[in-house]
Amino acid sequence: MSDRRVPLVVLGAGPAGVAAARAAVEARVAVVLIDLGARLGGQYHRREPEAFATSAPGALHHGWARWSEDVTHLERSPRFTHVAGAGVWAIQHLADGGMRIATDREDLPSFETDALIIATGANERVVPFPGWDLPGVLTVGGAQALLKGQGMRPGHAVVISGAGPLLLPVAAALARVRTNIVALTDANDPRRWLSGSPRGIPLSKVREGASYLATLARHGVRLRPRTAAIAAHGDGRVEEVVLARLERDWTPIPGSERTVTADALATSHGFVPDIGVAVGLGCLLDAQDASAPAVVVDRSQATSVPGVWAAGEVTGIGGADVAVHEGRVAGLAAALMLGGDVDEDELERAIARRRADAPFLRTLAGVLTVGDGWTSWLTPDTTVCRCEEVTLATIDEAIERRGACDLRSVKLTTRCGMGHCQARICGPSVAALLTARTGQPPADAGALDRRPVLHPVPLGRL
Amino acid sequence: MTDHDVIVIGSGVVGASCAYELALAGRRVLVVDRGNLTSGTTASGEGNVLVSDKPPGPELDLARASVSRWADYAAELSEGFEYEPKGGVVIATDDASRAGLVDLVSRHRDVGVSAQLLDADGLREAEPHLAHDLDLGALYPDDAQVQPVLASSALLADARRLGAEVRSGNEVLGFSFDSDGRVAAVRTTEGTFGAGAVVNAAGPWSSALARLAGTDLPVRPRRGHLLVTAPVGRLVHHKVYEAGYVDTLTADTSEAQVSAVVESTPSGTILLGSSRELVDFDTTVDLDVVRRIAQRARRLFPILAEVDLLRIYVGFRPWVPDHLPIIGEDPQVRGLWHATGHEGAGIGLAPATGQLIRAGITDTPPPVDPLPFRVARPSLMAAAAARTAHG
Ligand SMILES: Cc1cc2nc3c(=O)[nH]c(=O)nc-3n(C[C@H](O)[C@H](O)[C@H](O)COP(=O)(O)OP(=O)(O)OC[C@H]3O[C@@H](n4cnc5c(N)ncnc54)[C@H](O)[C@@H]3O)c2cc1C
Ligand SMILES: Cc1cc2nc3c(=O)[nH]c(=O)nc-3n(C[C@H](O)[C@H](O)[C@H](O)COP(=O)(O)OP(=O)(O)OC[C@H]3O[C@@H](n4cnc5c(N)ncnc54)[C@H](O)[C@@H]3O)c2cc1C
Repeated sequence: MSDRRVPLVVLGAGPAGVAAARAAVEARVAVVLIDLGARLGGQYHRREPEAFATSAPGALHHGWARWSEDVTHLERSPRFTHVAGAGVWAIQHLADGGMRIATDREDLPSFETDALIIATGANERVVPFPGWDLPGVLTVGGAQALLKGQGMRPGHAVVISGAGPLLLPVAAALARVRTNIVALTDANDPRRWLSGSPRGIPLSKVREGASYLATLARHGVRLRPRTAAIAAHGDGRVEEVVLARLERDWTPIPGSERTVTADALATSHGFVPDIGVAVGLGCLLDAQDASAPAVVVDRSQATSVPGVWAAGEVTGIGGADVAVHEGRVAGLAAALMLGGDVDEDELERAIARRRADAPFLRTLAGVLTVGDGWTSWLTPDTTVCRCEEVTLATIDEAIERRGACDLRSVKLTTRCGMGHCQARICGPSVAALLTARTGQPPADAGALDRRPVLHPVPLGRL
Repeated sequence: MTDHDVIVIGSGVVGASCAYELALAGRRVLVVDRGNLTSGTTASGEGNVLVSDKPPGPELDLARASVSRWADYAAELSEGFEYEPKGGVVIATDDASRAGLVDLVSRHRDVGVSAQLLDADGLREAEPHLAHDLDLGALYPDDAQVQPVLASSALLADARRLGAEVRSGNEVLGFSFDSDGRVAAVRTTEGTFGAGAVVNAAGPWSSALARLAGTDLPVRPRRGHLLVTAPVGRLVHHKVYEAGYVDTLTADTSEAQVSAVVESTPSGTILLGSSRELVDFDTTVDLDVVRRIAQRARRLFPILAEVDLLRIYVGFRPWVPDHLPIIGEDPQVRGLWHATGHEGAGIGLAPATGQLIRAGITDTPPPVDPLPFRVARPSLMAAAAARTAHG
């Protein structure tokens, strides 16, 4: 195996990774940026520029201009290499302090590097409920991708239900192409965030939210707060969705259930940092929320492992702007360590910029809270792990009869999280269920994110 | 203060079997594990229950007793554990291993082990996806497979039903002794527990445990990688491995020994082993070893090239220099029993190990002769002496 040794690898080409790469390249450090996607952009800039510019003029325009500038600058730099369409399936510490990074690209099987910036972003979180595994149920991000990518609506009569800021732009985009939106519900109450100017929310975000609401109002769609789709029914696919009003902790209010007819249900409940790479390298985690552990970083985005930095959603959910701020800090800090041309004042300014995001992040955390009460939406035969078809009853049996009291034992005794998604979807639910059943968060938070194989790779590629 | 008759240290498959067998015999058992239940070596093992890889001798006797005891467990335990008596197929991949395989089969048949040589057609019939150039193998109908974590948790669950107590997150820190020097209690992070006997079933960590009791065991961790594919259904019908695997068992090097061990599981995944290296407790996945395992497995089943790798486990087999488990009471510390050193066969050998411990502690007839496994056997003493001489 012939390994190329490079000073710095950035993993993930979203807003955080691109900002990090740009900062490092400016400091005259050679950077290899690796991403699964064909183009730079990650989750945020996955859509085409046209759609981006027209979706909400003004505020987003500004973001797009900065983004294009970053990308142009990067792509012109002789120190920049973009390894596109490459899934990193494993990372190994080397005896000399470096790391080996294995990709599934046949022509570029592996790299060795002295330093790594983890910018792997986040995955959508989906809370299970009876019928969530029926055809016709998809994630809100999935509905967005379907629309942007293939110009397709998820159905003729669509329920959009979940929690968090992703619901609005996707609902607005669907409304604009005249989708029949039967209901739009948020399990939390986002009105506080949308009206007035709660602490730390930049005016641009408030305007962005207001413009989505205006679009929705024009199409007669109203956002129902403290309401959720708690079940879906149908013969072979979604035909009906049960909506219920919720208590603050997401427990359904008895008697508030209402059944609507729908052939599609788009649902997600916030985001979970994609910490697999960080866990594999041994980075310290913040597991205050056992369902969504994040990578711990210091003021310069350094993780607990020497030579490894992290930026963007992987360190906690903060949105694209915060991801850019963190990416810049990480890029400068890594470049400084690698002997790059970094002005320490510049690094301090970048750190200060990131610090100023703190009030916004606190408010955002409130909007993204997942209430414990969702566990009462489930029935014993509700599927929790879709890949391995593991039901709530099987998990309860493992906890009660086999004495499983941590994530790893539940996984090993039920197969929950062993399937293709490797617990990316069911992991947070299992952690929350264990917490609910045993009265305390599992001692091994993050255990389901330990994936020596970060994403599936054909044995013939090894 | 003695709330328990026996304390078992370790909730791996060996500790679980000891606990169950002792609970069956009416003993009040406490199992303690410092980690989560069954989270040690047992959670990264493959679950083969093999007679085919053991030449005639005491380990084969232990294996044959275990094979029949696993069948009992499958019938009598309340929870299932994916027990599959599906047989093993051993394959000669080069000239050296051809002669070895023919010889092993005839020696096995001499002692009454069912074994049958297979030619190219026989191999194809047993395993349709095998590489076409392979033309010599052997079928061992008595080889079986279990899911190790389910098996251990099933044993522990029934031990509990029989009155045993099981505590995870409880690390043993030391021992107390009575005036005669017998073990009287175990000190743990959760308190001190008294018992008439203590079983050291701490797998690759059992030598550290022995040291806490003031004695010595030559058990060391021998690292192994295990690859798991995405679910693809039953491509492989038996447990299939290269005849060369048997040689890697006794090649004691820090450099990784790799040979192909391939089998499907009831969930449709395929398990690929195996590597063996004496490199201490290093959990780093070695990508070179992973590649070598994948290549050797593809040598047997070319179709695997298209199958996705999904997971990798790294585990530490409890290795001993003379390659025989250590089962019996410590000659220096009375009341301390060892059940360890099973290396790459602890899942297969656990049931008869539990039975031997039960027989020893309850002073009842053992399932096989316990003498070869005793702590103070000449082959271990020789190894210990050599270690001392080398400093
Ligand atoms: C489905 C979805 C839809 C969203 N829609 C909106 C929206 O409409 N508006 C909005 O404001 N925000 C949206 N967000 C949030 C926004 O995308 C994030 O705030 C932002 O992208 C965070 O940037 P990041 O750089 O941290 O991570 P990301 O942009 O997520 O980038 C991470 C990158 O890492 C790559 N990666 C991860 N692991 C590997 C690996 N093993 N090998 C190779 N590559 C890897 C991924 O392919 C990805 O490109 C959305 C998020 C998601 C998940
Ligand atoms: C890759 C691989 C493949 C394998 N395949 C097979 C196979 O196919 N068939 C087969 O038969 N065998 C196989 N093995 C071997 C088998 O896994 C082991 O022999 C067996 O699991 C050992 O079980 P054990 O109970 O002795 O040890 P373990 O399972 O390691 O249990 C020991 C327990 O002791 C606990 N412990 C340690 N110290 C303390 C302390 N101070 N206080 C409290 N608790 C403590 C640990 O937490 C641990 O849970 C394989 C092993 C590997 C690595």
